[in-house]
Amino acid sequence: MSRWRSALNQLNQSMVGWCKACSLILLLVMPLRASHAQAPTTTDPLAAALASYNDLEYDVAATRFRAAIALTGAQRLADADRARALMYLGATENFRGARPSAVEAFRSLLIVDPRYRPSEVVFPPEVVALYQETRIGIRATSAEIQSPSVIAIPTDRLPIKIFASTLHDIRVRVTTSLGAPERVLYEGVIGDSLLVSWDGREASGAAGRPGRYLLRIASRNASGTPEREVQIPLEVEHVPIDTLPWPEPLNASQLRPETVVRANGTRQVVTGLAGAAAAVLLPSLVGASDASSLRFGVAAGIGIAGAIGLATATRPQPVVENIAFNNAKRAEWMQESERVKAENRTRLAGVRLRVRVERAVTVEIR
Amino acid sequence: MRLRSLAIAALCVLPGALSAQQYSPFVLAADATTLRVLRDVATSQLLEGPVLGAEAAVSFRRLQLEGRYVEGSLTPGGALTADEEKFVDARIVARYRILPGLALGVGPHLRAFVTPNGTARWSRMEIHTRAEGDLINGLARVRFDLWFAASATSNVQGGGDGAMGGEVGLVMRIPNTPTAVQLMYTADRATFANGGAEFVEGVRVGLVLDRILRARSGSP
Repeated sequence: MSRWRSALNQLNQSMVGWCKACSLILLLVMPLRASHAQAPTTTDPLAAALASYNDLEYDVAATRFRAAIALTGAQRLADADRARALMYLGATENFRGARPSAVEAFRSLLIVDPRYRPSEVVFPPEVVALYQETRIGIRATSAEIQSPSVIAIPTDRLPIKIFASTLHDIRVRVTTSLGAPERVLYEGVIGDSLLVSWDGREASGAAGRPGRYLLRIASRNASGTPEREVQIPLEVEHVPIDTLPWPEPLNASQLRPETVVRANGTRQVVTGLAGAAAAVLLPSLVGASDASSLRFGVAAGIGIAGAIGLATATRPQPVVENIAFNNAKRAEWMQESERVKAENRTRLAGVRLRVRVERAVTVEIR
Repeated sequence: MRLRSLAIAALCVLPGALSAQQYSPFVLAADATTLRVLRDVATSQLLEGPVLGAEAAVSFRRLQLEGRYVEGSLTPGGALTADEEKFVDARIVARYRILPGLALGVGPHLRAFVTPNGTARWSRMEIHTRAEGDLINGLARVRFDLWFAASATSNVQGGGDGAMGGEVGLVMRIPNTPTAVQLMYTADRATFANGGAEFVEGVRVGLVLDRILRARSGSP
């Protein structure tokens, strides 16, 4: 390994010498080309640094990587590029023989992205080994939360996936700027990753109020002292409750007629007349000629009943099957109404929170 | 003859006007009849008086077995005299409903007039036809029974020669109860072998405990 490194250093030094000479010639002879070659640095801060790294110009590369990492504002590197720059910076410092600087670069990298693992194809084993060595000693975390997320209290929870650089103790809590007591979500060991969740409630059990909350993931050392904390601002707002509409009232076309005029009274007239005639004519029918007038009373009774029958026959009569059908429909409607009412009651009793996750900040605790 | 044709026509009309119905499994009835008996034998004789009756029927599907017993005292011309006669009448009819509201039946009929001088008895085997029709939906029905004696025997006046009778009236349900009230006019005429005749008629008012008016569809 040391032979490989000394050979690499020799090659590096010779290459640096050659490069310096070539750069001087190029700057003197081809100023236009030189200016063209520097053009990528204006668009991609990492490109020039990587070019220097590939050209084995580690001093220049280290300077350029640091410059790129230090960019702020609109030019600030994305997290992935930042991690990449730190990894190359660590490798560069390692090649330069500045091990503490390399460790510091890797430490910064692990804070940015605890899950970062260097490619063993791109970086030599000694760089990877130094990185792993640094990783074991650094207790850092990061978190993934979908943003925006909606939590329906009390049924839903906000999933929070936490990643760790190494095995250590963490404490996950939600605090608010309004002075409410903190809500501890988890306290214990994390290995590679851990899934915790927030039910949207504060420590008192009350639903979260609109405002700004802070999800704090504190990494603690072996003695339980917090070393650093990832702070993720959560912007919480209440989502208006959307209740179910009432079922449409039953209209006439959905119901069957409950009464019907079954007859026009002809049947009652015919039956009444036939019955009355039978009463009057019965003695003659059996061959008696001197019957009393008793039968006329019965005939009159039948006639009156027939007249009443005629009057009532034209009145609407209830249709039992249709009444049962309509009652079933009404019961079904009532059941649906009760279901909607219960559902709306549940919805109105609950709270829906929309949670927007902002950029995480890592704070070192001294 | 023309009247008998009319009666047959009436029997045909009534069931045609019926809604589907079924017999009640059990029927009990009690009634009172103002009876009038007119004998035209050697001399004309009129007997009148109230009689009390009881009736029971059991049914199974289209079959019905009905028994009836009537008893009372009759006085000549309705006056209370020493020549009163005791009237006893018993009948059993087995019916089969051939159409809704139209049933045919057969059964024995016994009748006796008990006097201090002796008892005049009739025994007949009768064939019955009964038609019923709805007048007020579920509340009132008209009933028409017609029967004639296939055989008639008597121990007086040389024996029986023939008999025919009928009954027509209203059966009115008392709402929300299993009871009904009936108002019937009954009449029958029997002839003797010696040429005499006996005509019995009356108006009967009774209370029926049954469900016979409950139609299969629509009736409350």
